[in-house]
Amino acid sequence: MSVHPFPAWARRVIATAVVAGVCLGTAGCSPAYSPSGRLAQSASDASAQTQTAALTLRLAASQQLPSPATDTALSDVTDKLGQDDSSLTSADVSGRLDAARRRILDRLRVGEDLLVHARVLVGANAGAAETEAVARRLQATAKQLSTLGQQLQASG
Amino acid sequence: MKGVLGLALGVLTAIGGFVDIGDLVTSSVVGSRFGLTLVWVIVVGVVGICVFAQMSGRVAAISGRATFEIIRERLGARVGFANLAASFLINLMTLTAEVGGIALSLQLATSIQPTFWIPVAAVAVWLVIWRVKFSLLENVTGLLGLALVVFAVAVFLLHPDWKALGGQLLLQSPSQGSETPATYWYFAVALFGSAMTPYEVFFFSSGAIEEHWTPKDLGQSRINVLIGFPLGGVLSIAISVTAAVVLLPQQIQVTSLSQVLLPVAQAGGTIAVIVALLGFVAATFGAALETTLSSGYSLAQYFGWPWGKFRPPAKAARFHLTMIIGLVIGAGVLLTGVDPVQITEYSVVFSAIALPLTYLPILIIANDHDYMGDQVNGRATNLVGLVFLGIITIASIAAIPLMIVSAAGS
Repeated sequence: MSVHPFPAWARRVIATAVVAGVCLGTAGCSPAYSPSGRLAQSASDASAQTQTAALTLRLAASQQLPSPATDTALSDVTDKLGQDDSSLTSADVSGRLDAARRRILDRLRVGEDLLVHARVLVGANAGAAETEAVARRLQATAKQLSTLGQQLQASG
Repeated sequence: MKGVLGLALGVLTAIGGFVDIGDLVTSSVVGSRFGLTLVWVIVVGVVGICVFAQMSGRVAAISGRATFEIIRERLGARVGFANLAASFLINLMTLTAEVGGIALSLQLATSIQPTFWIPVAAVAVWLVIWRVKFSLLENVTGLLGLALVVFAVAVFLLHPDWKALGGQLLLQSPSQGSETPATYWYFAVALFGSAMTPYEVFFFSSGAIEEHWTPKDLGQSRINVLIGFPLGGVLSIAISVTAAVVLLPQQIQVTSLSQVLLPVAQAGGTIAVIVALLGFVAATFGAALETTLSSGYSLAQYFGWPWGKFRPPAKAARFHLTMIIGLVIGAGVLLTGVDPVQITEYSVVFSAIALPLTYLPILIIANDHDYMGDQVNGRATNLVGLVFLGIITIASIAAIPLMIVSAAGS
């Protein structure tokens, strides 16, 4: 007589949980794969990275973040913004979405330029006023990117 | 006095050894995106790991044998192999993530690229496993991991709005801001997977054999688990809170380890950052040791090879070779340039998928009189175990659909 390796109680619990898991896993649908969803995601990612650069710059200026950690954080932001830049550049969209893509890319490149400036300031141990001015511009750029992402999300 | 010190040491190492790269990244990602609305998942995960870790420790102490030996014998070669394959692959993924975590932490401390640190970390892990006694490696990394308490201190230094934070703890709608219900549940599964990573029970159970536990040691092991793990969970929550207080209001979604550090810098400045970095290195290095050992344990125990650090390496050659191959694969994958943080995010989700294969056999064996005698699970333990088996299975089944629907939480 063959004996099932799992006792009956275990099989019952698993069967019930499988049904619940399937329901949970398939509930809800995300716009993440639509072209506008992908553009909105890139804008949101770029906004978060630009905001990270602003925070890092302020912490570095106030001597709260050691220089290796500052360099690494700014280098991470540079890498991620570069990834967003290339995914936006290669995005295959047209019409209204292409116009949105160009606007996001324009703001993202402003952020990239500011980031280069920020890294120079950190390397030169620039004064608080100068770094704060760049941090404010980074923050403003992040806000613009976030708004662009939200507009895309709202328009579907 | 010696007994009290031993007990304290066990609890402290359990706290310091609880957090790994999965907890560091996932807790911070979740805090920065959902505030504290997913803290309940950490609590559920910690209860789950306590239940099953003490169960697997008891099985090892009573039977004198580790998990995989018994799983193969009790459930047969085929079920045993399915369990081994899933656990080994997830473990390898986690090992890769941990070695990447060491490299990223050292990059934060030195600004030298991780590609330099990856081979250094892999060789260091191998050397420590080869040369250092089991109890020493467990205690030193566990105690240094306590440096992560700096996150709990940072919470208070940030002077958060406690009332607002308390409000976030209450169960809220999964749809928040730009986050969808699918993303919320995807991260709930990831957080659960990071709290209940399978290697923790394999390491715990095999460690019991390494340290020659007997039924007399069960009391201490229970205290280590039931006090140490929940306090370790508090560290995970503290990481989430710092991200919720500093990063969430600025809409900074965590995608790199450097961002996990920023709230600590804001709260405590350079000194706090140095302590946190020590904690990062200790936590990831300790977990890399555990996952490397777990890869050797699982394969050797399934195939019946001699295993354990209590044996000279020459007498457990295949056990040591498995670990070396695991480290080479992990370092090799990382050197291709893949992002260790992404590996971490996927490893915790795939851990969740494999959870039933790890925890169901433990529950079955802990109920088997042939192995456990009169130390089989009591009714209360079985009830909690069954509830968790249900939760684990739901998380496992839902993980892949949620990953697809939410585009891996993006």
